[in-house]
Amino acid sequence: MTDQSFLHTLGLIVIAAAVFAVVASRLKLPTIVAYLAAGLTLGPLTGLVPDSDAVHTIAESGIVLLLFLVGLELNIDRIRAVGKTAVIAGLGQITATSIVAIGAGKAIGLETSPALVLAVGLTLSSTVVVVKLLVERRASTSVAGQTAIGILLVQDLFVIILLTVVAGLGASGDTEGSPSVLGGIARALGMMAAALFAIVLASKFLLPPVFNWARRNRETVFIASIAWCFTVVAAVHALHLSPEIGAFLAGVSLAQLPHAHDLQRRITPLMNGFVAVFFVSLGIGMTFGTGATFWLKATALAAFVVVGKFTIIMAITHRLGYTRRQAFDSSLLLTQISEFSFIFAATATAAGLAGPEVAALLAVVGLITIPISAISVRFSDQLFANVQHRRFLRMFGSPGAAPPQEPRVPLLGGHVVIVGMNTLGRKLALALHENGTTVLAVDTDPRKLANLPCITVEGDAASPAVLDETGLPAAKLLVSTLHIVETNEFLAYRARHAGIPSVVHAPDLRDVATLLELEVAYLMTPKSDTLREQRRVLTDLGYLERPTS
Amino acid sequence: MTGLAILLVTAAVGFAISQWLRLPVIPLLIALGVALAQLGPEIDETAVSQTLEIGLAFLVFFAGLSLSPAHFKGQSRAVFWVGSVQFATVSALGFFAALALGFETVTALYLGAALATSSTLVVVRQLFRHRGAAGSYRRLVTGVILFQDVSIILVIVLLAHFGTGATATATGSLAFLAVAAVALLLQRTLPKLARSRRFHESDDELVLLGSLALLIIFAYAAASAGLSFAAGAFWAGFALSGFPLTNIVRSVLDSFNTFFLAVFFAALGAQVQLNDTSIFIPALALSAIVFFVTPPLVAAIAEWKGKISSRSAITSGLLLAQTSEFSVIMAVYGQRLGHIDQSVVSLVALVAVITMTLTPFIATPSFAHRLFRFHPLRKRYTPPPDLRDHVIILGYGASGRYTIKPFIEHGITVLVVDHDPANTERLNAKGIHAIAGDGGDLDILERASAADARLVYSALPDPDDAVRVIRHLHGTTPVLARVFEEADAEKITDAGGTPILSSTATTENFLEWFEDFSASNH
Repeated sequence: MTDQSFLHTLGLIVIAAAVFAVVASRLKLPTIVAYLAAGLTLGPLTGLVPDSDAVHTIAESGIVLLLFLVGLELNIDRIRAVGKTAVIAGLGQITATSIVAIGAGKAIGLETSPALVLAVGLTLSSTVVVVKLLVERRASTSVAGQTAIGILLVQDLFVIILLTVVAGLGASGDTEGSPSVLGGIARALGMMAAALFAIVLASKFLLPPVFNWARRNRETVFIASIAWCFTVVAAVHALHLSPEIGAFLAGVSLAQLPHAHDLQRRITPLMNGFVAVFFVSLGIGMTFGTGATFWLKATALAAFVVVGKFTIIMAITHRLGYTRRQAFDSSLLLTQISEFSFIFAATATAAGLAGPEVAALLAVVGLITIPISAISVRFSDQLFANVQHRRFLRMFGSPGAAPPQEPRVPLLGGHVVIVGMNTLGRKLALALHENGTTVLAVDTDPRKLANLPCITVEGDAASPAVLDETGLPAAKLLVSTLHIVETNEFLAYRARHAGIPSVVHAPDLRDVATLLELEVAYLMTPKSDTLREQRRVLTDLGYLERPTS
Repeated sequence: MTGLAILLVTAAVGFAISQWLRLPVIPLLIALGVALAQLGPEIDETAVSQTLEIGLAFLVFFAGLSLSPAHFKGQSRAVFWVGSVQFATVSALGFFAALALGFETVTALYLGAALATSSTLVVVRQLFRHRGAAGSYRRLVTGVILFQDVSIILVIVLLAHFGTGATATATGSLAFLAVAAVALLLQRTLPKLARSRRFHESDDELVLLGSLALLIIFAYAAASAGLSFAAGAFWAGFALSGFPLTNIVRSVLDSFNTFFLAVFFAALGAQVQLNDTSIFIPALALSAIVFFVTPPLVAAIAEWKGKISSRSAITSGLLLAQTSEFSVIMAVYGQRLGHIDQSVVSLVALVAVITMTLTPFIATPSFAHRLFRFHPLRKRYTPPPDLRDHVIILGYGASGRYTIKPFIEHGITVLVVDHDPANTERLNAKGIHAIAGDGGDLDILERASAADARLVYSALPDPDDAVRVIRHLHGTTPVLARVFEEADAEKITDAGGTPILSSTATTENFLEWFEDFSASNH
């Protein structure tokens, strides 16, 4: 083996992540907390795994896939609904938070330039954490979710410009020359405009024909999409922009294509695996200062992030017309600092703008705020119920305009789920639809779902995400017409577990016994079903008449 | 990151070409990887080696995960016979051929094992494409491949200890058995745990991390027992292969599998060196062994032990005539152990590219039909009685007894053609005319005096067979054919036959049941 240490490190990370994730799920804590704890245990606490570059690519791929997913979920209608608010709230939040944060930095005894660096660090919220929480709660398309993502995008643009400028300052030897600063900003904006232009062109002319053709094979479309994502990331990287922006743009450019939804489902597990590595390695890489004053300062700053950011965003979004709940959820999501905060602090330290203390402080603030935000989002219903009528929320007043509408989730119930749109599946779907039953048809092949009058879901029914989407627990019946016995057995098993009767196709009569063991309500056996039809045809055509002579 | 992007784009091109030209994707991925290394941009070495590293462990794990004995129930005896004879014969022939070509003993051992294994991925795709026809031999073929996979993993383990002395090999084998025993124990017990309520409430993320953690723990356990990492990964997969655990884990890991499959074989191709043209002759010679030895061998044993029709047996043989992704994985592994050098890995990859690429063209029911006339035992069918105005039933199977009932009730003479001699003998004992043979074999129609029959009823699984029968009889005798898909019904009508659409009948029966079901639910 060429690189034993790489596999060894990765192995320890995965095992620790799994162990902590199991504990966290028992305690009903979000997995992010588990991963950070796993990282702290492997790194700073025990020193089992040194902070190394070995797993860097995997961690970074995790973030790339995550942002790709964010982009894929971005819907034009949603942008219209929340775009303006997000931009205003994003800019307002950056201004308000950084002004207060500079004051806070001064208050704990920092010079002007380190205080500025700290302020930027505290202003940013974590896209990775927020999206992870949204995916976990299946709330990415909610008003609060989309607003938070919008605000984060504004922040991302802000930090990218800052990073370009600060890196430029470091390179130009810390001379306070305004031309280089302005030049840096102009260059970053120019690059971004160029990237955006190229992406828009691609999504208009290049991608639709390519992906509509590739769509016929799920694997082709899957690999092609990921390849597109990483290509854009690599291209954007060459323009000195962050991989996050590239991945996001790649996602957006595919979001309006019809296969986007199935693609999201398939990328989610891959992203989960890679992002776990990212969070654990984040924990491993943490370094802390020592002494009581250090921890006191850090805790105070963390408290400022949680309370201050929440109040600022709540005030702005509520003022812009969100309901109390929408504003509450949007704000709660953003009460942490970002991995960008660490990157920015490191870059600024390298450029000589701040001492190592700022980076160490930010590490602790991150360590405190990320779990707090994760836990509070997890329990946001209870939190909201508790504070709803308190004076604290009432001080935000009543909204100024009509609140944006939450996306409508179609309510399913009493429907029949039919998996597999072969001839049998289509006949069943059409017949049941005609007699007034709500039918939901599932198939991996979009062409087989075309021209069906019922609700359709494109995807592999054996996957939990797809089965979730069919609303199985509320269904009346699950029918599978597939020829693959193993999948039929599994679907019957899933249905039994959900307490829903199932009907499956047994193409081979030898499988009947196994399927009956799974308590299917009815077995479809075309070979024996045909007998009546056969008798009819034979009689009609006169083949059953006794031989003359 | 750029390295990964390049590998992914290469893989995407491979998948696109595979979809366009309907070729298997693995040889294309390897070939494009080779082209990339020759012509394309410089790829980051660590990206390639890390991809190979994780990809190797993961793909082996996933293979173990898909290995469920349930896949070949009812065929286990035939699977064992076909698998063991095929693997032993082909690997021995490959070994001696490699020696004759001038390779060293260890290299020849690797080459022998590489030739004896067939590709799960290629075969599964091919079976899917001919799924209408594949009913009877699907289990046998997938079972044989799983048998080969276990065999080649065993070979990898044994080869890992090659040259370390008899004691080391013995302890290695014992450790292998110990890990296997733990895996077997888990395979039996874990599904019961999976049925618990708590497991069902845990989300995909836990399933994902849990199974990957098990993979790593097994791999470490295997490594600390002196075994290969890959052996541990394989048994970890096997430990999770019980129903319904395997389905749950596979559905979560499905996208990982596609991802690693894509980047692994592209990365592998990028490491193959084709500058050395001396590997072309051995590659052709070894490919020839795969093409000319595997099909007749498998066909003969499959027909003898598997109770499937001669033509299904021939198709089974053709389906298995390629080397496996495992052959390539084993070669990469052997190179890491220092047993074989890079040119041998390239040779194994080249043989895989040649043999896998040809599979879709030769492993088709129609090609099997053409080979059928060379079948030596074909003339030995029981000669049918001299009949007139009878009804010929092609294909008996599990529902044949009901098919013939209306005819017998009406006093019409029936003649059954079925591939299973057990069926025909039982029918003969009851005084019903039956001949053992392939219903799709046109010569049998002559023997069954089809021209004088009042009707031919086809219950053959492959609609193309029915079409061939209809064309052969061109209007002399009417043909009824049972089909499932509407598209196949059209084929039958176009050829001049009468289709009986079984899905229509099933829909009617279902709707009757559904009415009762709805009524009792209200």
